[in-house]
Amino acid sequence: MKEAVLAAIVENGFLKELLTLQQDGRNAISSPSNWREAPLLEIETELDSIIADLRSALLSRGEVNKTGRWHFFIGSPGNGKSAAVGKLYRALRASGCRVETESGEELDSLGPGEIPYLVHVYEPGKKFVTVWFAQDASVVKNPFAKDVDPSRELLDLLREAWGRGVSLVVCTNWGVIEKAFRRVHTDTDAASTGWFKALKQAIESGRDGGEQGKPGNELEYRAGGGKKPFDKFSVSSKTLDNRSLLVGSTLLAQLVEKATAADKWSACAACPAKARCPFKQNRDWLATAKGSERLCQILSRAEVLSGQVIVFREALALVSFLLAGCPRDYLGVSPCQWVQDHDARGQFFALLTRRVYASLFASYAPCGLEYEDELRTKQRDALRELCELDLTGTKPETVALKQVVKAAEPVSTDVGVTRLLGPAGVMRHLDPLRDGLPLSFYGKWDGSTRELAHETDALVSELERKCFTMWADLENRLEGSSKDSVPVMYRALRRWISAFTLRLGAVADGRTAFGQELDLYLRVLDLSRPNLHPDEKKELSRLEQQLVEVLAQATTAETHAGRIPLSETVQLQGPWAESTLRPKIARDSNARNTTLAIRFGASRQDASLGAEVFVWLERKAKWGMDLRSFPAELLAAAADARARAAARSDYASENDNVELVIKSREGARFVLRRFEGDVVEDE
Amino acid sequence: MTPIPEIIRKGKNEPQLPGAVSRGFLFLPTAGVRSSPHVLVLELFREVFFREFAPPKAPDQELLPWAMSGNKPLFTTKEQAVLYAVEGRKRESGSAHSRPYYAPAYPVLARHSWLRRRSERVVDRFLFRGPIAQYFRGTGKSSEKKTELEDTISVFYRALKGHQAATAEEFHGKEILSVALKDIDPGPGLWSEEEAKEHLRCLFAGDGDDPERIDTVFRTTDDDPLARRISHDFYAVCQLEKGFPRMQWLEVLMAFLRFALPMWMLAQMRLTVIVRDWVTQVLDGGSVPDTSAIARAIGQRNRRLLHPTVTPTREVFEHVERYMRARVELSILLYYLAHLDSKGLGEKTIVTVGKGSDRIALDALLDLFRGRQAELAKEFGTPIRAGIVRRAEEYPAWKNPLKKGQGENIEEFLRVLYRAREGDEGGSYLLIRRGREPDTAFIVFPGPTLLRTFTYLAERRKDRDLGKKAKGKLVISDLEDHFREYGIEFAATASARPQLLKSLQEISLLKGSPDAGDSAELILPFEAKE
Repeated sequence: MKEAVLAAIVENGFLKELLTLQQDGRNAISSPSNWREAPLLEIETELDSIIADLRSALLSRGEVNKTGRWHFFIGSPGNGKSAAVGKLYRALRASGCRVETESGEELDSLGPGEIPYLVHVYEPGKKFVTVWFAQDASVVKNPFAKDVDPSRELLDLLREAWGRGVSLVVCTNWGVIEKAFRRVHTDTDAASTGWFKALKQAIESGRDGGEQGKPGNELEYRAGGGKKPFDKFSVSSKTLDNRSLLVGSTLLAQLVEKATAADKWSACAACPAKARCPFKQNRDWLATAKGSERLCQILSRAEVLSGQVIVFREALALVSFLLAGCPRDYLGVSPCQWVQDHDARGQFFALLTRRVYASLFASYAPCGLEYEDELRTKQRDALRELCELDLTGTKPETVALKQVVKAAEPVSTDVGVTRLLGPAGVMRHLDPLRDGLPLSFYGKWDGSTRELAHETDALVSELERKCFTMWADLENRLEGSSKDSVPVMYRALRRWISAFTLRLGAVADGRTAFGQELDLYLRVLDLSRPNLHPDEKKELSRLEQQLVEVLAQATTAETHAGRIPLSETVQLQGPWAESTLRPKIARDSNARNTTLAIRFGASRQDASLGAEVFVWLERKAKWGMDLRSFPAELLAAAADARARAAARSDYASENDNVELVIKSREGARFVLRRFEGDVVEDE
Repeated sequence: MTPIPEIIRKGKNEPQLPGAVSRGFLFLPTAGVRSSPHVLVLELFREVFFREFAPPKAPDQELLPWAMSGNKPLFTTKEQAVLYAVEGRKRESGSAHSRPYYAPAYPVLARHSWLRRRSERVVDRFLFRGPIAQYFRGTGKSSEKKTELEDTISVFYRALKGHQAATAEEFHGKEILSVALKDIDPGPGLWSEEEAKEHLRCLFAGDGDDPERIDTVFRTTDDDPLARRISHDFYAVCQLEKGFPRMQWLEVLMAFLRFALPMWMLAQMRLTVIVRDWVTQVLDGGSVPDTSAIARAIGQRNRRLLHPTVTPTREVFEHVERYMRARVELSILLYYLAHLDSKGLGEKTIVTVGKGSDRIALDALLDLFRGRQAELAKEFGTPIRAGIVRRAEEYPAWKNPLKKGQGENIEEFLRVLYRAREGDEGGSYLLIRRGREPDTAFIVFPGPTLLRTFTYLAERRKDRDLGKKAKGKLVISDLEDHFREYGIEFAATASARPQLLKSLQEISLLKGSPDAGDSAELILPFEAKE
């Protein structure tokens, strides 16, 4: 049967290409070996204008341009530094430039794992190098050498590039570039050199978050030993950390749009399994405005909850996984072969495991079964017994269920993007099953599976309907059985069904754990930008008031909301504290990350209020949670931010309206009140 | 060979320390238990501001807000309020009477309290005469150091007294706790400002008569890295006091004292281990390290003292055990060498470098050992260590280093690093106890207040080293570097970095994304006013 299916396969090659974006795939990491071709899902970013500028600024253009450029892309792994250089490489190639490794090898001849430290660019008709690319200066040339240090090698690179008088593009992270600077900042000989000034400019421009990508002051170049292409250099840098693809950005939505474009999926039209193909169905749903919005909404929540941006590499791997599945499942076959084979053999539950809702929230659990080994063993045993109730063992639902309960995993649970999808990943924290859901929701998505088969939500495809029908048949089988173990089997079956249907309903409705609170957090983040519309200002004012109440209540165990804890035994109160240390949302135009900045009154520095802290504070305020049921470390973070702001304020030297309430563990209570500069005891 | 008892001056638990050790840099002053950093503040104020560390013949006097003198309270209500404001955790006596520790917010509150007159003076030994004296005297006296010394003394004194401290006449705009104390008469026991500064000058620079006659300073070509780090950090802590609320500043001060003093002690303990290892290496036919190797090893004695862990380890106990065993073994070896050598080694002090009739440099000492290799090999056999251990085993301090002799005192002092069982969750601890004795082990990880303090100190270091404009962002690697200088190595343990990121995130100090690794940006918890 398998042979017959494979002979009639309908192949969509795009899925195979998508797989290369996942962990260990050839396009997972942008490197010189894959720069020649544009990335599979290339989208426009704010880097494009920088690349357009560099394309001409780096070159001498037949000695027309006498000002070379040194540019630094600074950021953590996976956020698009090398991809940007790859784009620049293609642009230069298009201008006729020749690009080689230091040893003169064409980049195309490099294997996927070969990443040269330095790449040379030759302008058309020139024998001499004009530009150097160090596409990953966070690593070292020879990792097996003694005492290797990327910062030292970066300095060597800068010295040499300056000596040669070439334009330079460096990709590195903050740790390396700052360490390099620290190494030489006291060196008086270095201070007068151009390369040192360039390094300093790059750091200062990146640190201040100033005009990113724009060149600063020009550095005069005194050529020595031979003719050099440039008389001077300008320096620019671009910091890529904290660049969310979701919050205040549409980049992830663009990636999804690109990956679900109709032309890339046209081959599926002839596929006999398309209605039951999880990837095609995921694509169809994600291609709708609602589907794309839902995915971005859920991932935005994940991003703020974790406090870490989803970098490009993660985003690409995730989109690839949702639309092409996991390479570990395929073992020599293509995604299309795998789907069509499973479809032909009626193994619909395995296919269902790759639907978007199960992929997002339960890819770590084998086929939607319990994650904990002990519970899963019991659940499998019960479901195995359920299979045995079908004496023939040939009914479609029995065949499909047998595959689920066999010992080996029918689909891989190691799907990559571990930070998001792994057993300890962010998505598991967001799993709707971990939070309270309304009764009406349970009524709709956790009720009769036969009725669910008539559900019309766009997320319910023929694959779901097949599974709903089979589940209904399995439930019926239990109805007709008189075995003592029916309740155990029924519980195991319902737990398994719910793992799918509840997550399906949650994604359809946009529900996750802490969804409301995280959306509120995201909204406040969104309103933290400058130039708000009057209606938005009104909304921000309301939210800020809400935040004040939440923070005030959360940071003290007392009912007196105006008290600010300074230590375990001392609290600050009084009109001065209430007005001066009132929390306010810091609207920082440079902030484009995932954490809310809070400013307490006129304190000089912002405190960050993470989403996890916010979620619990909001719940405490909303539900009147007792502080003892509150995660202690989260409370500490909020209290800490407020106490730190108090410490930074001038409360200690204010002459009036400041009170210290001192309550010892021994039961003693004192109030010291500032009055006309003096301190009086108060009741 | 002369019988052992005639060669070795035996003490109760170990051989009496040979004079060559007890007079020089290998000497480790006696430490003692300090259950709370609050006690260290009291001790600090008594050392700096009071003519007498403790009155003669008086028993120790605990600092308690409710203390009475006959029927009369020792403290006024306002003083009591200020004392309660700096209340620490409860002591772990287990009895119903266990009470909290208190720290004096200002020197005047230390006037009725002191430790036992004969108790171990850890602030004096492991801060003033330890790293600070080493920093100012280790490389000799230069005019720059002299200027820096005067500035340091001035900053220390002003901070400990309170930059914003009120007086009865001038209290507008002054620090609130000091205003509450402005009318208190400190009594006659305090130094004048000049006397106190002169006292500090004597301790730091070794000028004047030193009745204690303890000198563990060793000569170096460049500043000793750990001594410089601790001195600069104490300076930075004192700088912070200006314009910072006293109550919060005391937490920073306590975090610094609680951490820096034991870490200095642990590093000093390593010196004995290093020298013992060199001696055994030479006696087993190895080479004598040259002066640069000696200097390097001494300068790096603070490296990798403790490794942050998420699983419990006995590393801190192992340091004590290693030190005590090395100390006993080195004493035995020195007694034997003195016996074999007719040039009066017993009268000399071991120094790092230099010559003189009353001193012997380390390389010369090792040469001496090498010259007596045959005789010592005959006595102890080869490898030499095995024979030495046979002799050392006779001493309780070697067999049971954590329970007998100095090792017990050291272990007790190290308890100041432990997280208390209750009331220390947000504290400045470094070690979290797991398991009961004798199976106690520790998770090595800094508490929230220690992290905050070190984030501030790391920024100060960058500011001092690089200058305001060039110091750049404060990132995780700066914080790790700062801990590294004290011997806490985050980079060496795989799980330490993620845990550090998590802890910083929990106390809202992480500005950058954790995925930025060691370049994740940090928020400065407090700033020093210029």
